[in-house]
Amino acid sequence: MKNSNEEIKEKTAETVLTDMQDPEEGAGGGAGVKKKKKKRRFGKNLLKKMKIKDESGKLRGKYIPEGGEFIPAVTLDDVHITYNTMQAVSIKGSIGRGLMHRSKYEAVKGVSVEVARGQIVGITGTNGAGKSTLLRAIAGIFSPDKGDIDLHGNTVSLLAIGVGFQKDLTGRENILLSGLLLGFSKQQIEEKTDEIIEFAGIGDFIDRPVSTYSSGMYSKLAFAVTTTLETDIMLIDEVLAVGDRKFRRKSFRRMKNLISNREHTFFIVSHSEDSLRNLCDTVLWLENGKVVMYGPANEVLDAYEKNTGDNASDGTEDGVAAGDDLPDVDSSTE
Amino acid sequence: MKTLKRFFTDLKKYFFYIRISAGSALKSEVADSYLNWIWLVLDPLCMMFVYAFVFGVIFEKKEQYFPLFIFVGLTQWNFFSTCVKKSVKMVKRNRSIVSKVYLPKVILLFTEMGVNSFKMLMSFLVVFVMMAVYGVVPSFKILYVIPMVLIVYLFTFGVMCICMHFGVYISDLGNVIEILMKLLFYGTGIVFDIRTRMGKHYPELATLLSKGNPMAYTIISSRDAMLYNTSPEIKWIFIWLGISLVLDVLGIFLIYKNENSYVKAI
Repeated sequence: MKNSNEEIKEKTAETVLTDMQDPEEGAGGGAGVKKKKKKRRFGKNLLKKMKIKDESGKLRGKYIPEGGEFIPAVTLDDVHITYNTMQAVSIKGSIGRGLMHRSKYEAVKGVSVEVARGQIVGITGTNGAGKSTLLRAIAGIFSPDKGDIDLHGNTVSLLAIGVGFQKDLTGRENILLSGLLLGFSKQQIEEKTDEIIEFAGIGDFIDRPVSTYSSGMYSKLAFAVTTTLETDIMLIDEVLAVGDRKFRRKSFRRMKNLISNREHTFFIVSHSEDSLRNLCDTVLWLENGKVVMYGPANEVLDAYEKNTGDNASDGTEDGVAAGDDLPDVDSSTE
Repeated sequence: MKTLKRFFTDLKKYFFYIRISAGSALKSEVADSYLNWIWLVLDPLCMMFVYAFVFGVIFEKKEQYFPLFIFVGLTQWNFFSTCVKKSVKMVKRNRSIVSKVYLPKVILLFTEMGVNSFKMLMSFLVVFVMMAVYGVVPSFKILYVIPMVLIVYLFTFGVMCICMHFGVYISDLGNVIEILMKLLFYGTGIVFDIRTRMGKHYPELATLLSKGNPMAYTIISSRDAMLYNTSPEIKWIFIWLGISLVLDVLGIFLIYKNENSYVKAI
């Protein structure tokens, strides 16, 4: 099941492809990973903050395409995120304590990581480690309280299913609405609409209101929208496969293709070590908002499994977070 | 300056989204009903008849062209009050969007304003039809309605920004606003003329309200311009335009400065 550590330095695009398996084919990491030596050019500041070193004492976790060079896609510099929960309080509750009830909770405490274009970064850690918070900060949903997130001009999107879907509108109208929300222009969306409809494979239902869809159809369309409208940096929060068995296989293949073409940078948050092992070349292990380890996927995951002991078996067995990890299919409109 | 520039860039960038989103919100609103789009006209029309009956028949207090008098008031009032009430829970209501993508929060406000603009437009069309029925012949003074509607827009947006911001943190602001709106409904004089009815016994209060309450000012002036062929006081147009613009700028700064922490609070 597990690769031997010594063999793995960095995965190339090809190896990632061979590594990955369809959900139905059972679990297991791939073997046959090429050894590669790459120049690394981390900033001094970042270098100090990351503790993970390889045998030669250098930092790891960088994907460098063949013959290419390290092009930074995301630079996190000492990112702190505090939930300054000026909680929504009732007026009664706020009397005597000032109008806002402040309680602070620091979810991310100084994370510094540099990620290259085309790199697939898995993020793991126990519940409440700050994984989703970090992901949402990268997506720009909220800003860090301290530190800096530099996306180097790349576009970013969180692969959330069904953003902005309105149940009274038709599938086709929802594609437009969701696409606009994800920051695409009308023209860009129109160019991709046919592809989305074809991939979703829900037939004539595309021109019927989404409220008439089964939950499976809804997920299919939503998945098709988010994965067809690609951004430079894609963030995935436990969303890897949806729908019935057939569509799950299809959607997994879509994810695999997206990931393996190395045009996009990925951040994947997952509790499933197997899926991280299969999909990612690097893994960032967070605990209590701090980086425990950042390095080659297998190495970090081995350490993580060893460290968490029994919890290690929590991951789904079939190499993809499916079924029980279904995203919150949110069709709420008011 | 930077914030204002960002505001206009966002407005341009999301203009199409606002249009589509407002359109779909309207569609959702009427999708399940039999009468569909007709409700958008029928709703204010029915309200007018209710008020006309209660105040005109029961209390026997009639202004000239009474139903029209009420309808002109309701047209602008409904826009203001619906927009403001909706803005309080705006972020929470759109949780499914704002927690998944970055969307400038002012865009949510514009979507709501778009929805209500359409309703106001329909309402104005009804006003024109009714004017024809009553045989009201407007002069060029009817053009004064334009700056009045502009004031309503600018003022409403400013108030919405402030309500949206505090609505994120104070959960019962909704109740407070609801009561304030009820009070303001009578303080704006939708169903009676503030100047004559209130002015009879409380002249100072009537002057204060008809000038110091922007909604009362715009509604009174709109009626004067449309129905009674009277010009408004020009000075107050500029005063209220100025105050509204200041309010808008403050609101925009407030939202842009804090919007990144809204998602953390809901």
